[in-house]
Amino acid sequence: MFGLPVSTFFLVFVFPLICVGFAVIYGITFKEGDKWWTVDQFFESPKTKTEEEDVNGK
Amino acid sequence: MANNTTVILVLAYFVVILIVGYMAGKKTKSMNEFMIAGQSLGVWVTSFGIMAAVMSGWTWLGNPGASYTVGYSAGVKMVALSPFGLVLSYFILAKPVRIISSKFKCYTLPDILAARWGDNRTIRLLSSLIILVGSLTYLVSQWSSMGTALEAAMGVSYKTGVIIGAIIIIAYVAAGGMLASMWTNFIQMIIMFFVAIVLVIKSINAAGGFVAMNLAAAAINPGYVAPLSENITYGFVSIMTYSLLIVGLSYGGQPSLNTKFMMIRHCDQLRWSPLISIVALVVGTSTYIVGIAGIVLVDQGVILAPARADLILMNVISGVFSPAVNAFVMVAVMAAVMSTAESYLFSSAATIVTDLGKHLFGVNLDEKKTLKLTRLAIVAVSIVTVIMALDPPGMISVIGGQAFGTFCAGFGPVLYLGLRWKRVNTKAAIAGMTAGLVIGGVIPIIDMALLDSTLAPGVTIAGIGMLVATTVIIIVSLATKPEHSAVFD
Repeated sequence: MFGLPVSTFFLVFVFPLICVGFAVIYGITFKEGDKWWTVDQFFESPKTKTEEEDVNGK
Repeated sequence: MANNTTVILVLAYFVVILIVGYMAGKKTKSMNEFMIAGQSLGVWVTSFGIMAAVMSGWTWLGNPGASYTVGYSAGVKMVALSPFGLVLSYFILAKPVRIISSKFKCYTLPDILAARWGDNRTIRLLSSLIILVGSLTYLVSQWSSMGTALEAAMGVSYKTGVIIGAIIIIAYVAAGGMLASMWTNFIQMIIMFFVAIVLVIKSINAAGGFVAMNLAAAAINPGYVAPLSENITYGFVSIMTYSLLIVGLSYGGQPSLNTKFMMIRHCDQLRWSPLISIVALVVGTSTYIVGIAGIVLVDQGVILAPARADLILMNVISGVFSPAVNAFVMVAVMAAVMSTAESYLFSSAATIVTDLGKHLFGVNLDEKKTLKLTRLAIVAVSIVTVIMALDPPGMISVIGGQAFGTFCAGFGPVLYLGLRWKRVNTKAAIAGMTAGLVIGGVIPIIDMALLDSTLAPGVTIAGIGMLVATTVIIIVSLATKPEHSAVFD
């Protein structure tokens, strides 16, 4: 492709462009505010979340 | 021999950045303004400034030299995964670093780590050591590149070039602090951005166009267009341990990158910052293609083969381009070197005064004294490293090349995991940073300086350090009691 093996072309030209796409996705999904996600949130059960909300009076 | 156009353009460039430094100096009154530009920077200055600090002289001299030697596999190793590494570092680090720096009044990377782990002294000491080892050696190699660049651009001697470059950087950094540094970085990145576009397009055209250039390179040696080289430095293991583990998965460990996240005006401005930075990175690092064009141009007899591979860019621009383009490329090379040098000058001076002096040794300093001492430390660090660069011992130049891996292995895992996983406790952070420093920093330095790189040929040992540090952090975190950290409140 363009005088290069497909693997080379993909790694040096296509993959960086895919990463530009990742940056676009980051921008679109960016959440405003002063909180950030942590890995721990993915392991919290829905029950724990509900209990926390009850404690916080929500 | 330097041409007049180059000399005039380089002098004009120096005048512009000195004016920026002077204007920033007039606005800089507090430590907050000096160290993190008063958290006042807009999205363009931050995004472009980050990339200028990250791209060093290696981008302009080393990458084309590497691709001239082995072909596209150099691009695969040095460039292909850096956009991914950049996006990942924004995704994981940018928001927490910005929020913590504001909430806990952090000015340095050790400040951020100390805030995360309850102002632990061992963590501050370890992070200060990593910064000092990496920054000081990085600085020596940057001054050395500065001397070489000014020697080529202005026809002065190497030593004069080192001294002139250092005086200019000291003048605007000590006066204007990070505000001057980031604004000059912004200007430097704009120069690098447009010069890289012109340089790459004209080089490809000189080699007959993109497809013809690739076909000609493949005809000379099919290995030039292969993604992996038979040269073990650019082979599969090397690419996995360097490109994937260091560049791809721990790129944000560099203090020249992660500390810049503190400076943006508002957290919400981080939304489009990665996109701007990544475009600058993709364009700026495309200079390796000049090395591919160089293979073809040397084979066709258009230019002479360089005495050393990293001089291929100089041969291409002097053989193919007009003196004006030649001059702009020289300014871009200097911009790359200066923007990186000033970033590490800052890191080392701030660590000496704030982290070691104030926090670890308990020296009682008010804001005015801290500001004054940091300015003095910038001058002192410059003098020491410039003296070393005037007659660079082989070992220091070798160690300088290792600083990037040391930062990524030492800081990458602890930052990526520590800021996104509450379970990472103090013991895990200390164990991970120690593993990263020893395996990713000390062992590669011993290997290169004393064992002539025979310990693990073709393997980037810092990548192993990053892997071990990550594993250690996870195991120790799960095996010991969790701790509460105020940064998550």
